[in-house]
Amino acid sequence: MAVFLFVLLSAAGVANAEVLGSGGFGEYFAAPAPSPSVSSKNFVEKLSAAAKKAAEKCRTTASWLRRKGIKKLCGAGRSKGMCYQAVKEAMRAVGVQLTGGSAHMAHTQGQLSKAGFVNLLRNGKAPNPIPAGAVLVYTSTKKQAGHTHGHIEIKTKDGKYCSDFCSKRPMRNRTLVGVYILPGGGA
Amino acid sequence: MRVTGMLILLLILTWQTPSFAACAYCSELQSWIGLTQANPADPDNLSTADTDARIVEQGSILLRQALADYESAKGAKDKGEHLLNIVKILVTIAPYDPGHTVVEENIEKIRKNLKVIEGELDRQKKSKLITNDQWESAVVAIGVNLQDRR
Repeated sequence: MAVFLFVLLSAAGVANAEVLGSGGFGEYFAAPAPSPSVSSKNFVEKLSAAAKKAAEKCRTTASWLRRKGIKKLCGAGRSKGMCYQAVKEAMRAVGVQLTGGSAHMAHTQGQLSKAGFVNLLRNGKAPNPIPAGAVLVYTSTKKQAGHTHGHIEIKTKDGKYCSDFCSKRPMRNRTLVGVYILPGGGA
Repeated sequence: MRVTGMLILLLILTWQTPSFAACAYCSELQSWIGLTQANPADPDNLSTADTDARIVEQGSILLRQALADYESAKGAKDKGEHLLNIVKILVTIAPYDPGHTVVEENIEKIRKNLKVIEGELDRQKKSKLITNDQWESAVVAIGVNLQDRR
């Protein structure tokens, strides 16, 4: 049965342990579907462009803002409260599928690792400078009462940090848990 | 009669003009506003990341103090002054804090006093004490943090 399953999955081209960065079926079934189209060629350029596009995109607001007459928020100048959605869109554009509803899941569920990314954070210390094309994942601190989703952003080629907005500096007052790069991606 | 009129006018002027008389952090607030004015916000390229970070850190401390002072103030006049300061900090900080982190750190107290802060923002916009853009920036910072950010 196991042999049959292996042959079946291999034929479908989804059981590539190298792409998954894993060694067995158990890990595969727990992981999000990897994309065979992840390519390291011009990865940073492509990801930067996709991140900026996702940051610019208009997003609908929740009830309180709608009541104040603000139905949509557009442009990369300020957060719209949808960082993970924007990063998922940018990553999808370069062939990486991230899933889940909270930004920290990209790290806590090992989604980035399984897509071939490597976490450069060592003993809580980030590399200095943070390379372009890196995906930064944060958990919340106690200061963000009720905010349990964390934060995620992409460092673009021009040195900005983009999610559903772009900033000149990384997110403040959060706990950085991952600085992920794609090896060979030109970061 | 003339004296009474003058007194009423004085009272109105005192109410309309942001006063720092009862403000425990007045000198910091004034120097901070001076710093932000010396560094006009340009989200594209005028201000540096370091200066922005400094402004945001200071703004966060001042907003926390202003909210605490507002809650502990007794009289309507004192409360009004602290409310003016809260709005002043909210509209000043917005261009430097695209991630709305200052409001996020203070969202529980803002939520608790949402009606009055919202009302004061609307009043200042209507009276043209703040511009439409300033009003929108502050309202968006609050609104984004009231929703479930993910």
